[in-house]
Amino acid sequence: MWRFAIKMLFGDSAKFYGILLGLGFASLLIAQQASIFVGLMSRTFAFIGEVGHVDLWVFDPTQSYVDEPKPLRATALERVRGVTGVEWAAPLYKGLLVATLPDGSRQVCDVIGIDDDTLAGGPAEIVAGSLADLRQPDAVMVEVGSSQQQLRFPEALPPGAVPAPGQSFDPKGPKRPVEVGDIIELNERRARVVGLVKCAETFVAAPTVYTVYSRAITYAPPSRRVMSAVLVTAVEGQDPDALAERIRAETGLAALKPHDYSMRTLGYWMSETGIPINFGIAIALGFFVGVAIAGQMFYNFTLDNLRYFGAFKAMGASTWKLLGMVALQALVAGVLGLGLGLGAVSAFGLNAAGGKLAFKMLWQIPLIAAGAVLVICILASVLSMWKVIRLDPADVFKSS
Amino acid sequence: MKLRLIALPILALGGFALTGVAVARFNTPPRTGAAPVAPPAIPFPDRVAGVGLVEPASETILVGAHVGGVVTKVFVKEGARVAAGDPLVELDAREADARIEVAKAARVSAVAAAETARVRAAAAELRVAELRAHPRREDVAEAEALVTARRSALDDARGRLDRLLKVSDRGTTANEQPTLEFAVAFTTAQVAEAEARLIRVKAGTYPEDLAVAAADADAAGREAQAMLAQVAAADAGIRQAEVARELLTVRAPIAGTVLRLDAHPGEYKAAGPNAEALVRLGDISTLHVRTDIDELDAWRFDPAGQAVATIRGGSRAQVALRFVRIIPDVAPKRTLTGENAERIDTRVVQVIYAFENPPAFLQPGMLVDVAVAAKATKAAAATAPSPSN
Repeated sequence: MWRFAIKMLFGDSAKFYGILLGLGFASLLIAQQASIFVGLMSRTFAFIGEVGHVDLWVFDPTQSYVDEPKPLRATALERVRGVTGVEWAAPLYKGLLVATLPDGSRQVCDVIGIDDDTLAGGPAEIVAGSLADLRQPDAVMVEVGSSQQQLRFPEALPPGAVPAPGQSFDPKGPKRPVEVGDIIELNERRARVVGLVKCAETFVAAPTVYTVYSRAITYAPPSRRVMSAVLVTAVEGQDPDALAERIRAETGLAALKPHDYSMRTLGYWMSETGIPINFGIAIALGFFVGVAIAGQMFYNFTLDNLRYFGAFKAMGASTWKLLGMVALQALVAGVLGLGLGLGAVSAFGLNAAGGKLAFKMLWQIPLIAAGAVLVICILASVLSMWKVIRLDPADVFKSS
Repeated sequence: MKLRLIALPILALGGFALTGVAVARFNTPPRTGAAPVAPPAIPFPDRVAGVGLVEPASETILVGAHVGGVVTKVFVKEGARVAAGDPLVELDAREADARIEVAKAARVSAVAAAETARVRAAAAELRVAELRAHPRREDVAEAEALVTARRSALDDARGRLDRLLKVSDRGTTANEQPTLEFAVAFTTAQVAEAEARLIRVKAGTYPEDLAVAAADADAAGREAQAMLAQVAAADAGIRQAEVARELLTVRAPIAGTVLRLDAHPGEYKAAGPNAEALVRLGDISTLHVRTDIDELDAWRFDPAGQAVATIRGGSRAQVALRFVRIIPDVAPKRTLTGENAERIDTRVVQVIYAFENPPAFLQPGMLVDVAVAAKATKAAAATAPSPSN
């Protein structure tokens, strides 16, 4: 009996492919849009995850996300260091500064100033050079190989060379990637590239430049306050939440664990921007397209096959049995469509990941897609089941 | 149909497998940067922290010039140990030397003028003495002799006239009588003149003449005194010129070490409140650290609390500190970012500590992180660290 149900399903190839297309397309749209959304959103706090190795971030209580410039007073560092339970604390600078390249072109850079002493807050992966090289004069490390905009030097200028007097470059001429030894200007001050790093992709479309804190604040424009955040490590055995509470009480600054800080940043982008709405619309569209195509196809398919159901009923099959057949057909179509859709999304994601496209398929996303497909299948089969329940076997024979 | 029956489930299974791969791939935790090199732990949990600037025990003395001038000699090098009063820098002294010569010449001139005045005063005194010596005996005798002589001449004239009148021969005497009468009158007048001279000689010098001479002598004496004062002034002028010359040599005010030298032969160095220092001097036998503590943390600061300084950099050294003093004047924090437009919204209490056994590489001007054991705050007490701590 179940075998007939499957045969019925696979028998009508046009409608079968139609159902698969609808379900597959729905799951593809849902999973792909959700993954891109998650990928994009996780870039907003990628920097926090990349720093790692700290127990708490201390920042201005009015700061809503990690890139928001709400600098702290210079003594905030010492005040945090004076809080019981703090093992040590390091300053961090993060800000957008303008870099000038030898060809005169300008590029906004995300400059990170890490503590001179502990070098806390360094990049995830060092491609060339070492973090300690940052202690050299005018030293910076520059992000390479990211999908973001990058610092690109004129090809005519060899790595590490300075333009000869009077030498000029066509800003539209051929370019090469930045190399160790290259000289850039950050806010009109000299900066020498001593290393290349790879960073997590961030939301800010600017190449990341690492340097030490004391130098970063000389690159930064004059301002009364420059310190972006304080990175805190708790003494062993200290509960970070209790320490965060104590830092808040004693210094009046906000203190959060990296994960909570990430969520605060994420919360800002979720509530203050149209991104979730845009993606939500795309995901909903996928769902409705799935419902429309697959539901309609499945209903038509059931209608076409009513005579078989009628025959089965005439042969003595119970209504429950017939409903089971419909459910099986829906389930098989759903599983196949979901598999194909998710497979296509995964192939797309694995292929595109690491590039410009933000793509992050959390384990929840396939489950959500599966749930959505299940809902589509149920919606589609309920109509068909209604027909099957109301089916009078005699009608089948009459009409044929 | 057979193909579909097999191929589609396989494709779907492949899709699920691929999804599994993707989920595994995208759910790895993010890569993080290298673990930071943590500084040494502070040995006490409740503390106030501050940034400290290492300075000499004497503080850094910005030795300046007394007067502006061009540097001619530099006697020391950076790092040199000097005693109090040792010369450090000399400014061009040629003009000062010349002024000493001028002052000396002025003294010679003053001495000569004083000698002249002294002699003149002595002469005036002599004149007064001479005037006081009148009437002199020999003058009186001379005048008296003249009176006597004139009287005898009168007597003689009168005798001759009497004798003539007694002679009866009028005819012969008539011609001589007027002559003799004239002689009597003349000698009578001469006696009167001689007597008047005697009176004048006996009277001596007129008081008015004496007064004039005395006043003259007084004036000359005073002038001589004034000239002596001029000599003293010239002496003082020489000393002044010598002091001015001495001031061109900048000397060490205390025994210490030359921390920085900003003077080279040929450079013009100005004097005054805004002038740059020629030499930075300090006593580095003991090093102090000037610690900035945020005014908001000042209430927790305890001078008696144990204190340590963590020296930045690879040494990871931690040095015990001894409390010296607290500066009772809260100052704006100086953040040395090199920006002249920088303004300050933070005020700090400055506390001076002395290093116990600092490492040899510690030098004035370095920044260290200072931690001072302090009272625990209410918040700390409320959320006390776990007992395992």
